[in-house]
Amino acid sequence: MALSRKITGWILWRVALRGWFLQASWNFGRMQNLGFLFALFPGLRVLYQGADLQRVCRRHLDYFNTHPVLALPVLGASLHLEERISQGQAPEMEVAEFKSVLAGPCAAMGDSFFWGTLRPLAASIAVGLALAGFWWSVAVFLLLYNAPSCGLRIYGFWQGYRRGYRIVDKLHRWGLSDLAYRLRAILVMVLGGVSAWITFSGLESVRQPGHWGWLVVPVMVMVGWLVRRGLSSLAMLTGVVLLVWIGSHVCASVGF
Amino acid sequence: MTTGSSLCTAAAVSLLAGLDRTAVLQLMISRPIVAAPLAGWLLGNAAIGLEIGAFLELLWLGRIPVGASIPPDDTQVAIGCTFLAITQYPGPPVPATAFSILCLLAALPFGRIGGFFDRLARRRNECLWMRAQQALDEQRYGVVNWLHLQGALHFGMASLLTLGVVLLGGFVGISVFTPVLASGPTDISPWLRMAVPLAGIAACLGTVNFRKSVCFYVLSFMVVYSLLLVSG
Repeated sequence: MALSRKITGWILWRVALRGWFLQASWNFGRMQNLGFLFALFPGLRVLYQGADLQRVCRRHLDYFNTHPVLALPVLGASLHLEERISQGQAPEMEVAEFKSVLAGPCAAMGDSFFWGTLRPLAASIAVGLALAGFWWSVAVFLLLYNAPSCGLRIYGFWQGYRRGYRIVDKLHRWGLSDLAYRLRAILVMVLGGVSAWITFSGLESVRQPGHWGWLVVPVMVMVGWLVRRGLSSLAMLTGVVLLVWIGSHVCASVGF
Repeated sequence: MTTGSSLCTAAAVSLLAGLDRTAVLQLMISRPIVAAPLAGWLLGNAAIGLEIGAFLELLWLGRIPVGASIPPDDTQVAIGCTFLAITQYPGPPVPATAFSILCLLAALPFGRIGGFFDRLARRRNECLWMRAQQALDEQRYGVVNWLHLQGALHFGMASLLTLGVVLLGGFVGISVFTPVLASGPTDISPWLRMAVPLAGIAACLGTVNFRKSVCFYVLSFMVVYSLLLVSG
């Protein structure tokens, strides 16, 4: 049976925009549950009335937690499923199952791609530019992160609404986990390039010969390893500043 | 100098960036590389903000908010530190960059307090969905929407409280250590300008989940550094 669309473009926009406020009431008990209901509500109000609306709203107050960017495709697909349920084309429990099945993988993909890769990559490029004194590095950072992130939110929501269940195929085809792995290689290379540039310009500014810069490589690898083993960033930074401080005193006292 | 208007400016940036951090939008205005220059620009010195943002950005970048874990609040540290570096700078002989880094070191430990206030806000939010359930029983849907947005107020309050603690702790820290900085034999700013961002990169490198990270890092460093040495 064909689905008769009740959701207008305006309602879709309202749901998508509300999706950006998903985490406003984030809590330890049920995490994004109220946020999900808040975002979906303009659509639910069109599809259900009276006691049905009340029952459906209560259903969406169940536990839900995923990555805020990839929550939008889930939101779109849930709206599609609600539309089907309201027309008797799907069993009522379908949305709850769909949400709980998709939330975990979306959270894992989103955390790995957006938090673990795209953000550090955009940040390391921006930091390199900022240290060179380019004020527009801030704009570069915002653009590098937000262009894919905002694009995926809006496109993902639209695809979710159009495809319903089949958004899973689309998410699989995007291959965010593979892309994250490849981008991490670029991230590490950018970190290496920025380190080289900081070392070179730093040694130039203190009028020291360039070959001292090669010592930075083993030190960085060792400190990186210590961080991986649990050294806190605060302890490391304090140690670095203290070393510089003590070094300057020692150099001054021996007339170096 | 600290004035009422400069404090209000810092509080406004703190609120905006604090909300962006978790509750709304997440456009990354909350990242130090954005929040610190923004605060610096509004307080009259964007360059200091940019420098602090660049120093701080990579330091805690690997601490990601997975599930219910809450990383230290680098947003409020960036804003508080920029505020302190601009309003409390005593002038020469204290070197400007060294003073900014001192502010950073004084403010950094209080970033963890941000995690405490954030947790408090999330606990307060717990009652919101329960109240939303009651509102649904009475079919008061407007109240449900309002309850959700009320959660953002809790996050906003947590941001302001964290900024307050960062500023108070920072004031104490810099008042103790500024005389030490002024009595130094040489200006250590150029060395710090090199060492602090490298420490941030090392922290970031240590948290990247990539099997061949050391090989790629070393190779990239060697290629770029060789090119820089050759090109002079």
